[in-house]
Amino acid sequence: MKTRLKALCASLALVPMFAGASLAPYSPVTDARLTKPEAGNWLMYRGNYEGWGYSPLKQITNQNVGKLVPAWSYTTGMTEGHQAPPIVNNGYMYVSTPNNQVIALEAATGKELWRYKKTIPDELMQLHPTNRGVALYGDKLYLATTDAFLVALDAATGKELWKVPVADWKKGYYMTLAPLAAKGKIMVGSSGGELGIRGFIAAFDADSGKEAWRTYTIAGPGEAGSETWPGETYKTGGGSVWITGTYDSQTNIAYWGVGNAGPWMPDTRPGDNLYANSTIALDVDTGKIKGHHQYHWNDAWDWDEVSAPLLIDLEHKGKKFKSLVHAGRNGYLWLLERTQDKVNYVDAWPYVTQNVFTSLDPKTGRPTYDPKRIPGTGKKTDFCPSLWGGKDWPPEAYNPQTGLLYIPANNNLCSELTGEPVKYKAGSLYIGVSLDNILTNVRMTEKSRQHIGEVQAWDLKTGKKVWTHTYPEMNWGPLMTTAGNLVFGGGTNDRMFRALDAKSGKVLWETPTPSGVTGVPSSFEVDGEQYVAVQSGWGVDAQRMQGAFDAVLDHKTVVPQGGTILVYKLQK
Amino acid sequence: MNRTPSTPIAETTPENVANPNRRETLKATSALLLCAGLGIGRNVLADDDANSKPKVGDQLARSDNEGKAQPLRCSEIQPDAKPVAAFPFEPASGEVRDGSRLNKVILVRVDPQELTDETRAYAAGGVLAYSAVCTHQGCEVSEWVAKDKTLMCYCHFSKFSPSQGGQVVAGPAPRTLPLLPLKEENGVLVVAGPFTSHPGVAKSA
Repeated sequence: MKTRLKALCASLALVPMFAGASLAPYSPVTDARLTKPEAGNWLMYRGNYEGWGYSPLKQITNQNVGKLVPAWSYTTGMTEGHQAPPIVNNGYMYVSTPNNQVIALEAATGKELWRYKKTIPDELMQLHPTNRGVALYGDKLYLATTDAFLVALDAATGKELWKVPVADWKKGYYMTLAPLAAKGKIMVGSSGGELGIRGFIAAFDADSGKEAWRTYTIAGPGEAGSETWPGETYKTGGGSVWITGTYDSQTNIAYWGVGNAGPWMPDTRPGDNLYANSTIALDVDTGKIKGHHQYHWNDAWDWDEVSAPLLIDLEHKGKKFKSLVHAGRNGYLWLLERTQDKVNYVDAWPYVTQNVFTSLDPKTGRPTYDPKRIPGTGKKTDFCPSLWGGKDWPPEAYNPQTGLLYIPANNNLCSELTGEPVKYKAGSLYIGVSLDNILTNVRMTEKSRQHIGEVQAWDLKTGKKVWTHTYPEMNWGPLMTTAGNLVFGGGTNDRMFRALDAKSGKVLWETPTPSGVTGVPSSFEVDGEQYVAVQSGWGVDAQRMQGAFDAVLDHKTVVPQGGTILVYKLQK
Repeated sequence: MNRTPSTPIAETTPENVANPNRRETLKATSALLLCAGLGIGRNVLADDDANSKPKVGDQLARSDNEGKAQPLRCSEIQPDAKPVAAFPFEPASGEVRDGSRLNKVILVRVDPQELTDETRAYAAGGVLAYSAVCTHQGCEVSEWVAKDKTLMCYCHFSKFSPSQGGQVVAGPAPRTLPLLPLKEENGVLVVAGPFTSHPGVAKSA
């Protein structure tokens, strides 16, 4: 009896250990794993280096997705834009939230493992209180913060290992993107295109945090392209980088999207303004620019081209090539060719209503503008698409099974802007359009009163649109597609998260979430079971567009704020 | 243009402490200090006039002022107009306290009849000085919305009522916009007391 009691006590004492032991020791993230990620994990912002937003898992399919039910959910306790994908590595899940926090959870159960909070300076102005995800590399986790620090944590314990200042937040630099990890380097860029920054991409040693290189996205004296910036305008030329780059592991080249030129009015900086509104190709070892393509020169419309291009081996109209695919904020869908040392224009066409470009040079893709549609200082101009573009930052997705590219678009929407003189003051807005004008910039058309938000599916082989799913108002929903013939996304002001049939665009499942979904969805597998995860948490630009809609529409829409991590699986 | 150290920074200020034990201690200490209405950051910064908090007797200068600080006069603040952004300055030395943006205020004129009793106590005539830093995410409260007589932050559309002591009337801001009490001396606006509450973002737990 006594012995049995002892044994019982001993086994009881062991219970917590066993409960905690269900999670295997943390598995380090290697270059090999990032290059060929396991189907069951979601190791980076878009799931793979190519930027596809694609999960090869196929337990959840277009046949059974109707049986998707909540597995668990978790309240972040934060308001504002929850945009980060739940990133999963062999049972460990990492979610970043507004206010520079990271929550580590057991992916199958939602049990919190640890939580990290970066102290924020009292005086910090958070124009975009959001974060778009963490990077995993080795046994570390990396976070880019709104006070422009790069932080390294121990992925297993959440212990802060080091943090390095990347730029000066007092001068308007802030970071919201998920870092890109490759070949021993952690790469980040900075936001601040409305605050007179000079954009850059910088790489840090993954172990020590020591800066390896820094390449400015705005060409300065002595650099190629500096002739496209008059006088000292390059110092405040914008060119922010706030979305993670994609990476070709064979050539060791990273492809980054660059934001708008600043301030907004083009007559303040006559010239092409390289490399604003471009894709640039950077050698990851040195940071050297290996090629670029500028989608539109001398930007006047706040059309950041920050979304990194997707890397797809394409056959388009009979030509086989290694491509870069980008649904531009300027409303054109771009196909480029990437080589070891160049980026070449292949083809482009509008995917939403666009009235600014009158033609594209067939060789270079350089657009010609309708002069009536170019905003300027002291001039009132309307143009389409709106300043949020055909697609803002929410990423496209590519499914190699269907061969289709999926775009979260806003169609039929236009803007009206009046430029005014502006003076630079460090850390203050440097736009050249009054705030009142920006807050009410939207111009509705007959068509936009019918619908605005879209999910579009394009066959890149033919350049033909295969299907379009429409929403009455905006779509700010990042997309994920799976081998189960599905496309997942939210983005609408009715708080829904949906699954669409990847081949037909038919809505197969939808569920209302606590707030609106502007988070990047991900999918993963634990113990043979597939899960779909996303954050709900409306805020920042989606809320700003809602404010502009409220200003011009008869009705107002309330989307409640507050972040939740939602994880779904099939009902048994 | 943007000089930054290329190596991890040393343990120089509380913001940068790498040692987790010391960080925990500091966190606890700073929480206590915040409860007492003092932030660590401000203690560190309080060494020079530019960074110190507004003091009784300070005058106000336009934030876009260049050269010698010019004291703002009560008559310069117009009703129903875009608020005037200003920083307090030490009248004797002319030192403008613009080292911290938490010192920035916006000046508005409201009909004294419309002010609540509590608000009237902080006004010089009908002129009120509110913190320019939104209590939501620290953006600038810079806009005047004539339609509903509110002050608005462009970042996330929080609106505050200047006649009701800076009360939140719309948007995500969690708390009232702090007031900097004013008095009028020979037509000049003068600071009459400390901010009614901590300017800036209330840290979430």
